[in-house]
Amino acid sequence: MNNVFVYCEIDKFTVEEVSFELLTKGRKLANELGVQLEAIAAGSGITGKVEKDILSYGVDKLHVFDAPGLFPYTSKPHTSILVNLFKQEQPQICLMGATVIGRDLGPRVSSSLTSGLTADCTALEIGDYDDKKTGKHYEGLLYQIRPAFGGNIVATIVNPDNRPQMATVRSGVMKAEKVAEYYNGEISSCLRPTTWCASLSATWKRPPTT
Amino acid sequence: MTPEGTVNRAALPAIFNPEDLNALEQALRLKDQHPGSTVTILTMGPPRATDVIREGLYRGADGGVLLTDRAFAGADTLATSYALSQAIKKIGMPDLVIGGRQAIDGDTAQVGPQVAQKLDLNQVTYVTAIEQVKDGKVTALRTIDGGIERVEAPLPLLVTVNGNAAPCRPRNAKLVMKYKRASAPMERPADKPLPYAEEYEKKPYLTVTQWSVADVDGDLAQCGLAGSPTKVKAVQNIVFKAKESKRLTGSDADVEGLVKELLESHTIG
Repeated sequence: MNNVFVYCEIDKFTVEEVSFELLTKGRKLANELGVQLEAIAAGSGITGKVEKDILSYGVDKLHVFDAPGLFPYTSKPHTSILVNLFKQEQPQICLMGATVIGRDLGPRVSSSLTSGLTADCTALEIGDYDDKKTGKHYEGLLYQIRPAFGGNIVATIVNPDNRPQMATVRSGVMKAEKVAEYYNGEISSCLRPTTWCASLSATWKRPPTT
Repeated sequence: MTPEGTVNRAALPAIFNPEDLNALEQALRLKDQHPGSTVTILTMGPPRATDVIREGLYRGADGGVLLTDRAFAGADTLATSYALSQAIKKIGMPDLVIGGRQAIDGDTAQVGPQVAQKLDLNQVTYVTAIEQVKDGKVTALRTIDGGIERVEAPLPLLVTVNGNAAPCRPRNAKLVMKYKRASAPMERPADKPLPYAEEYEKKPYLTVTQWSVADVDGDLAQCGLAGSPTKVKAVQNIVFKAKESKRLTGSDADVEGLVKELLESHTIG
């Protein structure tokens, strides 16, 4: 409950660099908030191939979803995995890459959970927020800092009431740093996420390229 | 900027978002290929946003819906997608919802997928071309990191179109003549008689459909600023500061010194 989650992008059996950058940032945010860092990896045949790499960035718990049909990425199955997992785990922060996949997936998850999502953040910090209208004081919110209006202004966005606080970050904006080669994190494996992916067959597929 | 940290859009002109024009072109091409199909433009904004609908009508769209209400103001992407999805439900589920990938103000690319999720539609994002729609299936090309992929998806479907798709066709002169007086009820003068009232009566297509929150059965708590989970905490203008600056005069010694320095740092030469 209330942990920091990072969605890891998997290209076949390797984890994308942007995910390591986000895990590094996620670890820092989790330390600041005094909570755990959890990660999600979804793909086909990834068991045993991605866990060590992801855990080494200081992940306390990794959720692996391994089933045929989860690679290559399609919108609906990955959305339903995240939505169901988040309903159960109630994370306070969720980070994903501002990539083709992250920007396809993030909005669907936020729409389903009615949580706030800020795209293309350039900095993420923890801080307090006072709502001038209601006079409410919030502690330990995620400051989502991003340029807007063509880069002419920099806006700091917060999600005071809705959880998770979601943000996407572009590749190369943050730095990836391993915590330990063998970090002792827990792995939660879901090999047959059939209930999670009820819509697997209804989603789009790739016809053979000619 | 308003005190709530939102943008005062009344002070800005309403423009057709560039990638939405690419999206319109894809829709019009499908209309050309499939006689009998119609293209409806949906936009949310102040009454002046009818400009966008008129522009679409000039280029070949069949009709438009303007979603306008004070209660929609200050919406972030989530509240916008709620309003749009309610309007789409009211229009009646179409086969295809086509939108631009992102607007040029927020650059979030979130509204499309958020609408798809609310309507439980499949989605194909970053599309450069809708190749064909046949037997209830759409084949489209989409831009991904490092290439283009061809995907197939069943209808109904939501598609977001990239700026690198085909540019939109220009206005059609006949359509400009036909729709030049098209307007939404809110744009018309309330206190004096409507010019060309007779024409509006005879030609119902000159009245652009206009819906408020109540018209689309909207839940006020999910609309506008109230329905936006994201709040703007602070906005800073970017000011470029001269971190290391040097003042030079036009004297020979200064110029020579500068040239030497630039040569040493391999900036020139």
